Amino acid sequence: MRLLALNGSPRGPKSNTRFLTDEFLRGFAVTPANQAETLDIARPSDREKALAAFWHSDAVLLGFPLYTDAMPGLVKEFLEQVATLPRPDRRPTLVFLVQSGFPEATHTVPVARYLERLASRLGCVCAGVLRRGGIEGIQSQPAWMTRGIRERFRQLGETFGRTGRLDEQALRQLAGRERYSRFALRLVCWWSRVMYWDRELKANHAYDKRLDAPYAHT
Amino acid sequence: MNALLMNGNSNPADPRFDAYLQSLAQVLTAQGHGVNTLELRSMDLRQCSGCFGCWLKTPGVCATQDQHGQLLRAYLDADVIVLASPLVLGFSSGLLKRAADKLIPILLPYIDASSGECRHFLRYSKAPRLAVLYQDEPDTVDEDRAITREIWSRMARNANTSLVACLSTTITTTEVAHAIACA
Repeated sequence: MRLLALNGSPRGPKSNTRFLTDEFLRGFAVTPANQAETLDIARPSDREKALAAFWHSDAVLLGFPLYTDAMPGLVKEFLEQVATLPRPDRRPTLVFLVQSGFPEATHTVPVARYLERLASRLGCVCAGVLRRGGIEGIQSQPAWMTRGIRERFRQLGETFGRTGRLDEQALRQLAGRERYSRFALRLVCWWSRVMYWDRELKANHAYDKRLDAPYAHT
Repeated sequence: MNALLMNGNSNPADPRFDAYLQSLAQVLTAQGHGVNTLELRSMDLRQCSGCFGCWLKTPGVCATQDQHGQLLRAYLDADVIVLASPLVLGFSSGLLKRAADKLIPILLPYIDASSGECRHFLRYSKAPRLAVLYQDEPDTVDEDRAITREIWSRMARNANTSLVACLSTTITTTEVAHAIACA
């Protein structure tokens, strides 16, 4: 199977989306005949290659971070370009990967519904939408903390590479809980503030300006 | 009421949507409301790069040199924002989505879970209400309209405000103006 893996993160090759995509591709590559090419659509030269290759692949994996509750504008504009291109009779199977910073799976439900409908609109089979929350900061965590999530992406990649399908139960398990307890959420709020946001603000000498409202009426 | 019409029509060759918005602006103005229209395709709005500079380096200000400041000022001046575009592939245009992505400086990085679900705290005390206006595609079905409403409802929730209407250009501009003004 020839898989075109498209990273729709505006952060490009160093993004969390690319990190998870690479794990999926490690599993995909277990099947000997499989071939994959990865392109970052935030890079103009890659975007052109992606447009040229999209309709001629056996399968396309399109991954992106959740931006204001849907796909980034970059991804939507790319898809709009894809839809203007001539479509062959034999169309690629589509797989989507959506990751979010917030931990709850509920944030990615509407866009997943859209992506399934999009595949149908494009005349493609949708093999599934990989959804996972709580991903911001994953690359700065020690390997033991992320082993489980990396393994899940690898296993899903292996299954897809072998069968061309994804198991619905595995996708549900990957997405995790729709909601968390108030205690767990309070912990997320505190942890992210103290261990991430405030540290970064201080490192950037911007902590004193963190609440600035530069466009407020005076 | 001050309304901001964010015109996300990316296809100037199709004048129907722009004409509809102009008519809506006239109706709202005639009713005594303030109207500001931003034609997004004419603005220099680069893609949000996800750098978090607007949260962590220059709080409240996007690091990209483009017209995001004009967009943010207009957003904060308004009482209601009309997110307007033809549907393209069953959802609002990529141009409108690009502009929506550029609104994240209105939020703080800190997470608020008091509602039982994560969202960011607001940077400003004001949160204009949101409305969506769309033009159907030839193959639009109810599911597309429902998904569009659902996604923008989530966006409204996470922007600490509410989606007061999700309307099609199949109804008159007078009806749209009434729905926006009375919500």
